[in-house]
Amino acid sequence: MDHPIKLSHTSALILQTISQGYSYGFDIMDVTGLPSGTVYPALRRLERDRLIQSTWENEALAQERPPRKYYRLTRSGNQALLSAVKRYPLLERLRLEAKPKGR
Amino acid sequence: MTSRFDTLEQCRMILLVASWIVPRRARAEWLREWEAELASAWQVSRSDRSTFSGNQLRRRCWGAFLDAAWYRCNREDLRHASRRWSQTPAFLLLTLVSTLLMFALASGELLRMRSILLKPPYRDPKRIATVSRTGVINSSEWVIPFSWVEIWRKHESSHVSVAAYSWKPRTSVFTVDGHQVMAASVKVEQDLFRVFGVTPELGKTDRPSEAQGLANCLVLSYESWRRDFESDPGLLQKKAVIDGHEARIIGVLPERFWFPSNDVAVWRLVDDRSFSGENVGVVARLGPQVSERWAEAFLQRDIENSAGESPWDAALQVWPVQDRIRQPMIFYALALGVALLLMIPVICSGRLNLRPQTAEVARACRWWSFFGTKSFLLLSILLAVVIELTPEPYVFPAGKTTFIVESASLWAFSIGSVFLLWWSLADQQSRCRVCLRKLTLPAHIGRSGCLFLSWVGMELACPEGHGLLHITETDVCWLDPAQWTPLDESWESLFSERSEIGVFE
Repeated sequence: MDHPIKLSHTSALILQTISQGYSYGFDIMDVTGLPSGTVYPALRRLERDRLIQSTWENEALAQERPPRKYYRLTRSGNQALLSAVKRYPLLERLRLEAKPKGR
Repeated sequence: MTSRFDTLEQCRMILLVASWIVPRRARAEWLREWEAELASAWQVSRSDRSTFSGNQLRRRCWGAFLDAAWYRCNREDLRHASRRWSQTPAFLLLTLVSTLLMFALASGELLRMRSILLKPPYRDPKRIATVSRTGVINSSEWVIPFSWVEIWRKHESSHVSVAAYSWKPRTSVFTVDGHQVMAASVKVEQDLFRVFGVTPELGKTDRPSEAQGLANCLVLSYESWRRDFESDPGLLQKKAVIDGHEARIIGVLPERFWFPSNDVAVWRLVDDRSFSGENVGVVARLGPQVSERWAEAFLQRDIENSAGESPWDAALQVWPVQDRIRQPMIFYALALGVALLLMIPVICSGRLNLRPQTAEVARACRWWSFFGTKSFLLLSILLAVVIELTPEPYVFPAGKTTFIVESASLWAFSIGSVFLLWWSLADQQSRCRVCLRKLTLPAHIGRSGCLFLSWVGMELACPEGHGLLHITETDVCWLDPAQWTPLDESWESLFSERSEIGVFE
C-alpha cells in the first residue's frame, strides 16, 4: 500500500489554491502572497510527484497574449490535499474565494 | 508609459538570462511559460485600477532564477552527468590528488616528510653522526656511559667533537604566562647545538652567563613556537615553568630542525653534573677528511686506554645522522619492492586480463600510464600518512634491528602497499579497455553456487558501449581469466539511447 506523500505547509497551500481554481503561477502568487522563487519550484516538485498536471492553454482562448500553462490537481493530488488538511488544521480554516471562471 | 515599457523589457531580459541556467532541452518551454505569465501580468498592470507596480513585476521575475536553479539541480541529467563523471579516470586521479593535498594541508604541509627528505637546517649535515655501542647484547645498553663522554671531551681534538643528550624524550608540562602546554622534552648538553652547527631562528642556544644559577635553560622547536605561542617574538622575555621547575627560554630553533625525535618541542640545556652516572645518547661532529671507521677507532682507542675497557666492550658504531634519518625510506622502498614482486605473478598470469586490448601504442600508453599514476598517487598518500601519523622516533640510539622489529610505520606501509596495489589492479580490471571508464551494470550469471553462495560469474558493461567484461567469480581453474568482449558499432545506438534517457518523468 502506498503511503500518502507528506506535504510541506507551502506545498499544501499551493495545492489548496489550485483546487480553488487558481491555476497558473502569477495567479497563485497573488492569492497566497508567496514569492515567485517559492511558488514555481513548488509547482515543479508537485508536478514531478504527479500531484498536479500541467496543460498549455488553447491558443484560440488566449487573446492578445501568449498561451499560459495551467495546473490542475490529479487524483493523487486530491488525496494528498485531503491528508494535508488533516495534518494542518489551519489549512482547513483557510477558505479561499473560489475563482470565477474565465478569468 | 515609457517607463512601463522599460520595465517589460527589463523583465524579459531577466527571464532570458535566467533561462541560460535551465538545461537546454527544457529551456524553450520554461521560457515560454514565464513569458506568458509576464505578458498576462503586464496586461493586468496596464489597467487603470491595477495596483501592480513595475518593481513588483521585476521582483517576480528575479524569482525565475530560483526556479531555473531548481530546474537545473533537480533534474535527473545532473545526477546522470555526475555519475558519468565519477566513472572517468580523470575523476579518480583528481580525487587522489585532492586527498593528498588535503592531507598535506591538514598535517601542516607534511612537516615530518619534509624533515626527512629535505636538507636539514644545520652546517655540513653529512659530518654529524651518532655514536653507540655495539659490543652488547641487550639493545638498551647501546647507549653510552656518560663517563666515556667525559673521557672523549678531555681528549677532544679537531677530528671529533661530541655532545650528550638523554636518549629518551619525556612528556613535560610547560607553562608560560599561565599558558600550559604538554610537550615532549629532552635533556641536552649545550654543546649539542654547537656540534650540530645550528643557527637559532630567535635568541641563542648557548647558556647565557647570567643564567648560571638557573637550573633550566630552554630552547624551543620552531613548530612549537609557531603552534603553541603564535610566533610570539617576546617569548624570550617571559618566565617559564617546566615540570614544576622555574626555567628561562633562551632561543627558538630553525624550522625543520629536530633531534632525536620529531615530537620533541623543548630542549633543556643542563650542565655536566646532570648526566653523571647515566647512560646517554651521543652526537659527534667529524672533522674534514675523517671517515666513520676512523672515528670509531679513534674513540674506541680512547676508551680502551683511559677506562681500561676490553676491545669487545668498547666496540662502537659511528653512524651519520642523515643516513639514519633516511634509513626508514630504504626499508619502505624494500617493502614496496616486495609488494611489487607479489603483484608480478598476478599481472603476468593474465588472470585479471589487464591488457588494454588495442594495437594502438598511444592507447596502450594511456592505459598503463593511468595505472602507474594511480598506483603512484595511492602509495604517496600511504607514505605520507604513515610518516606523518605514526609516532616514530627516527634516530634511535640503537640500530637497524630495532627499527625493523618495532617499527609500526614499516609494518603499516608493508601491509598497506600490498593492499593498495591489489586495489589498483582490481580497479584497473574493472575499467573499459578502450575509454578507461569504470564498468557498470553488473549482472550475475548462472546460479548461485553451494560454496560460499558465490555466483558463477559476473558481467560488466562499458557505459559508452565499448565492450563487456566477464569475470569468473567461482574459481573453476586459476587459468580461467576475465574475458573482455569488444562491442562493435551496431551496439552504439543502444548506449547512446541510454545516455539520452531523460531526465524528468
